[in-house]
Amino acid sequence: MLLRALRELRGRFSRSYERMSIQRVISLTFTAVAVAGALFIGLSITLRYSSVNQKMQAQASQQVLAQVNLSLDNHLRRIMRVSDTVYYRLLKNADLAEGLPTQSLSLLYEENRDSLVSIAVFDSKGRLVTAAPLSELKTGADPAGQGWFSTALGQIENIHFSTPHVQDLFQTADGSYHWVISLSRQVELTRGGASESGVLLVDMSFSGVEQICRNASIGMDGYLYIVDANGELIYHPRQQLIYAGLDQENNREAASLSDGTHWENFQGQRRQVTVKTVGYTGWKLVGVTPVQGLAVTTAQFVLFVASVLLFSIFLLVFVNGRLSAHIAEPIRRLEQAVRQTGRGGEMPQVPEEGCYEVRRLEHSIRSMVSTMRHLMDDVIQQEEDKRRSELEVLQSQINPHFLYNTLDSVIWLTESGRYEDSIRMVTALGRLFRISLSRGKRVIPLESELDHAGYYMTIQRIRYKNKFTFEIIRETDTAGLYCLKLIIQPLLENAIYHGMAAEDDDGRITVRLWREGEDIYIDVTDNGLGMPPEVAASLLDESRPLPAKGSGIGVRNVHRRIQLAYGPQYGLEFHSEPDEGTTARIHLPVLTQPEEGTGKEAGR
Amino acid sequence: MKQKGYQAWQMVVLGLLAAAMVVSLMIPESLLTPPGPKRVEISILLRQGDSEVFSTARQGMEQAAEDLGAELRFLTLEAEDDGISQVELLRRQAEMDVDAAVVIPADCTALEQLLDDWQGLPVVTLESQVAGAQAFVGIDDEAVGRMLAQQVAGSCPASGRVLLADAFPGCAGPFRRLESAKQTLKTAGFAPEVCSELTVEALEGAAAVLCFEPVSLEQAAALAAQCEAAPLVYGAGVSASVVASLETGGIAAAIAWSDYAAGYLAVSQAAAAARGEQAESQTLPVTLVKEGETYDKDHQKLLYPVFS
Repeated sequence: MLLRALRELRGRFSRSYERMSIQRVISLTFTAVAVAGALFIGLSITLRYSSVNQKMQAQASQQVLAQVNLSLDNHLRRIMRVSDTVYYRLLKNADLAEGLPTQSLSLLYEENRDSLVSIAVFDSKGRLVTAAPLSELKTGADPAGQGWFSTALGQIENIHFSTPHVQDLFQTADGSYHWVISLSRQVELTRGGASESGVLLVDMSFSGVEQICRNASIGMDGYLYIVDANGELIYHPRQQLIYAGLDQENNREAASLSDGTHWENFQGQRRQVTVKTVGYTGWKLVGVTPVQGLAVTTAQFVLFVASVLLFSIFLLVFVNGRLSAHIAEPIRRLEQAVRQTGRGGEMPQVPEEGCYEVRRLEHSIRSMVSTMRHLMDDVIQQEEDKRRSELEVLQSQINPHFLYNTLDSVIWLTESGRYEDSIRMVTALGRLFRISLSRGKRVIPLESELDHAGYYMTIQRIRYKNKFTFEIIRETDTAGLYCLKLIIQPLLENAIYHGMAAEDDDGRITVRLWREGEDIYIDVTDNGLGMPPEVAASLLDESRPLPAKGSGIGVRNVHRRIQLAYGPQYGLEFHSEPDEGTTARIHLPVLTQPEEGTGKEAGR
Repeated sequence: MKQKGYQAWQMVVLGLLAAAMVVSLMIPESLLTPPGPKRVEISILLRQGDSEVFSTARQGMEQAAEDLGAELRFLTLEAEDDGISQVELLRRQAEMDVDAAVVIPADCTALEQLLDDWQGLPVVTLESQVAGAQAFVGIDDEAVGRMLAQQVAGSCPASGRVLLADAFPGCAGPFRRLESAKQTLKTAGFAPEVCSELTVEALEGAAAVLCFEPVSLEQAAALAAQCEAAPLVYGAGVSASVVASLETGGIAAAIAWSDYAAGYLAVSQAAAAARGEQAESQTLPVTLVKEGETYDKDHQKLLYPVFS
């Protein structure tokens, strides 16, 4: 289906392409290539810009995280310094049996009360040793059962940070509660000279961490949150919403990410996630930037890009139109010149402009047209010469027969003493030849041709002792008309040989001529033996052999000459019936001028 | 001539496009960016003058207002539980062209009468479902009533005296809880007594007292502490005082839900209704918190708001 559609599209494109002008092809091709190039470059720049923007955003996120990490580190170090102070200054050197460092602990608490909720020391059983600011555990409090306690005793070499939780150790007067992050460590307590294990707990206020993180902003829609190594939320700007089940975070996944920038899809949203591990806590600062915040496609950017694209495309179309017109114009002119030449006109002078190839092409075409014209003229001239020579050959075929016979008759008349007839015959022969020559003209006045026929018949009648009569009948006015010369005489000769030879003294040969419109008809009729119609019809058939006796060749020559001169619609026709005679009809165009040529041209 | 005209047109179009390109750089982004959702004004009509009980819900409301572009106006009644005043106050809000209201009904009947065919402003109710309101955000009252009754049935003999506190008879939500608990208790063989006013005398000698909203629950816990033979106190809803009593044993068990979520969802639905969108009723999940379980990890998140 798709292939067929593609094939059809390709076919339509090919058809359109074939109908297109070269200017349009150049213009469209240039525009398509340029637009494709512009789009490619634009896309590349946009992608590059987007990539750089993302990298910059990642760097910005990392900088924010580094800043928050620094603040958080300072905060945690401060709390750890409190823990260190309690342990190394107050507990290490004190024997609890001699007195509790409660006052020092209170002083230390007061110094850091903005960050701390409580400082407490427990023995290994979870019993409170000393604490500040409150010194009494609430009823039912079970420090030993809490996670920070067991973790501290389980991993004694480290300081441990808990996840945020509500402190449930001390009885508060107003029933208030505190969200705290517990820093716990195993400590060595000395009581009565004996050393025992204990746990030092410093509960820092969760609000301290919250204040550090709250104002950190990442991009327009970005935010920052903290998870511990297990993915438990330490801080999140929408922590209560998450606790209430109204929002979610990808904190479990984030805990497994290494430091650096990552991409994730969460709740159908693609986000850039930057991770930085907070030293010695195992916590991870996670900066989240939704991909919308990274998008460079602001409305202004889109409008600007659309404007630039539209402007560029229109400019390209405009420039390419001008350029293609400049390139194609000489070719178009040349094409028009060639077309005009093809219609038979002279090739017009095309101004020499355009690029080298076009100029060369123009020169080549002009040269080719000139060569073709010369060749055509040569061919026409050769054809004309060929036709002329053929006519002359045909014409020359008449003379030897007649001359031989006439001279033979003159000799005979002279020998027999019939000098009058001999003189008449020689005179007729001389005039006949004068007309035959006609200064080399092939077309002579019709009257001369009839005179020529008359002289010929004079000679023949003498030769045949007046066995037949001869008459010329002009049915219409044929004065001033012309015809090929020597076209009647061969027919008369044919009539004499085939029609009169067997007659006694009542032979009759008639030449009758008339004009019908633009045609002239000349009938040569004898009342001789005649012949079957089919034989008469075949007289002019070139494929049939010539009769053994007579001058059939002369008749065919006349027919061929007429058709060569005026076309196949003209020539001879024979009508004959046995014992009734034969009529040979010459069909000619009306010629009013002596020029040679085809019938129509000559007739004009 | 025609060609020249065509070229002139092309130049004009080119010039216009170039101008458009320059203008696109000069237009301020704010003009092109579609404006955010319309800022809406939402009035919050509390049931009681002392809104301490609703402090956590208020935090959720403020968070929703920040997220959704709403401006909140918290209004309390001059006299507690004065349903008529609340209705009048609501009517005035409509006259002041407030976009929507979240109401914790003091008198559901009076409110229903107002909302019947009222086109004043969209109303979302908290705690009590009221006919005519656009949406309700609260709990499944019948289920909560049953849960409380089952707790009593599991810890008290059927012969024991069980009091059902009907502190806010005008509030449909607590009343439905009460009715559900009463029915369940009766089915279990108890003979519960409905008590409209809690006193030490009334509580003295009772096996259990059931309260169906946090105000009476606080009161019951306080009164029970004064009794020589304190009854087991059960209730629905939590406040700081209720949590403290749960921790100390003053309350045997309470059904808790996130007031923060309730407040957030109520304002969300009110904002949606104010913007002509479909507001949907929301039923909140509930958790049974027994005495001494307040510091369980999950209960901490429910009972102790992070940003208190």
